[in-house]
Amino acid sequence: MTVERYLLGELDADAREDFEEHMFCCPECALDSRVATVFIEEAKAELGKVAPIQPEVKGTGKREKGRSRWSICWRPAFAAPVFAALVMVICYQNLVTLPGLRNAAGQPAVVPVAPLSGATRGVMNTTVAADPARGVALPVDIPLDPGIGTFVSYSFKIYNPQGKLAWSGTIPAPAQGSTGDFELSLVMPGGMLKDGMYSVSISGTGAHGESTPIEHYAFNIAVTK
Amino acid sequence: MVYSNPPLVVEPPLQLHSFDAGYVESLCEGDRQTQEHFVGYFSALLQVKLRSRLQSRHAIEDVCQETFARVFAVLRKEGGLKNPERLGAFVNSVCNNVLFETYRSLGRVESLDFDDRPELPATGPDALAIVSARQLGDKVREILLDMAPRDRFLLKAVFLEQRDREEVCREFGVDREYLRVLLHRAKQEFKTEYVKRFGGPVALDAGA
Repeated sequence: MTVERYLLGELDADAREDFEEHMFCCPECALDSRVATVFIEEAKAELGKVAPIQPEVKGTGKREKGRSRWSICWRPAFAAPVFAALVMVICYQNLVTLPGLRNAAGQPAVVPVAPLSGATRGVMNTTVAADPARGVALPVDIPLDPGIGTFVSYSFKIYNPQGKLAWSGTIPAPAQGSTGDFELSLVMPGGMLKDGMYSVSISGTGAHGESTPIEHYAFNIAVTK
Repeated sequence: MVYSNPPLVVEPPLQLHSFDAGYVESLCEGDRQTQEHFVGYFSALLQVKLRSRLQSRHAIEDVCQETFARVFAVLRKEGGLKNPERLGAFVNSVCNNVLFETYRSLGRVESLDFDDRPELPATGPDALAIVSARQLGDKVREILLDMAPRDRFLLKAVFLEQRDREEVCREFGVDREYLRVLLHRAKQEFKTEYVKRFGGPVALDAGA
C-alpha cells in the first residue's frame, strides 16, 4: 500500500521522491494515485456535511455496534462486586439463617396462654396481653355436638384490627363418635400482633364441602413492651 | 502531506499509456491528440505531486505550466530526450527543478500567488465532463455511506480537518495500518467506477 502511505504522508523524503519518480513512469501506480487523490478530494466535500461526534471507544480499535446501556452491568468493575455480594448473601442464608430456622422449628417453644374464657362470644370484651417476642396461645374449645353437625374438618379465620383476614387454616375433625369438646390452641406469633381488636371465626366443613359457623371470638390484643 | 486545495470540479480524462519513441516523436511533431493526452496525463500527476507541496492553486498551475514549457523545449531539441521510455521520469525531474527554483526564489513558507500576474481564463468543462464528475461524486458518497460512522469520522479528521495522524488514531483507538487499509479499500471500490468513466492503462500504438 505504497500509494496510501504516500498520500497519508508516511514516506520519508527519499522514499517519497522514489515513489514519485516511479509514479510518473508506471501507468498502474499513476492510476492508483490519481484515483485515490480524486476520492480524497470528493470525500472531503461529502465529509464536510457530516456532524461531529465523540469517538465511541478509546484504545481498543473496536466498536460494539448496537451496544446498549445495560452492557455496563457486565463490566468487571461493576459485575465482580455484585457477584461477590450475591455469594455472601447465599452463604449467609445457607450457613446461618436456614440452620437457625430449622433449629427453631425443631425446638419446643414456650408461649404464654391467654384464655378467652370469660369473653362473651361474638362481643368483644377480653383484653389479652401479648409478648411480641413469644406471641400468645389462645385456647379454643369446639363442642363435638352431633346436634350442631358432623364435620370432616374445622376452618379458622383470624381478622386483624383493620377487619382484614390476617390468617386462615384448617384442621381435620376428630374421629366420629368422639364426645366432649375438641380442645385446641390457636398460637398467634408475636410478629403478627399489633394493638387492637382481633376476631376469630371457626366453622365446620361437612362431607360435601358445606360450611357451618360454629364459634366467633373477639378480643383485644395489648402488645407488651 | 495534506490536501488543502479544493477539489477539481471536473476530472480530466486520463488514458494511461506506455511511452515510447513513437509517442515522443508524435509529441515533437505537434500531433494535437498526442499533445492533449500528454498534457492531460501529466497534469493529473503533477497535481498529485504538487498538492502536498504548494498551498495555492495558482502556484500549482504556475509550476505545471513552467514544467511543461521546459519539457517541450527539451523535446524539440535534436536528441533532446535520449530515452523515450523515461519520459515520465523526465517530467518528474523537470518539475523537481522548477519546484526547487521556486522555493529558492520565494522562500518555502511564502505563497506563490502573484497578484500582478494576469489570471489565465479558465476553460469550462463540457457537459459530458460535468456529468461524469457528478457520477463520481455519487459513487464517493455511496462508498462513504457504506462505511461505519466511525470510519467516516476518521477520514474526516484526517483529510478534512487535517489533524495529526497519530493523535487521530489514538483518539479513535486504531493504528496507522487501519487507516491505510481503510483508504485502500475505499480507493479500490472507487477505482472501478473511475476506470469505467475514464479508462484504465491502455497501450498506445506508436504513430496513432
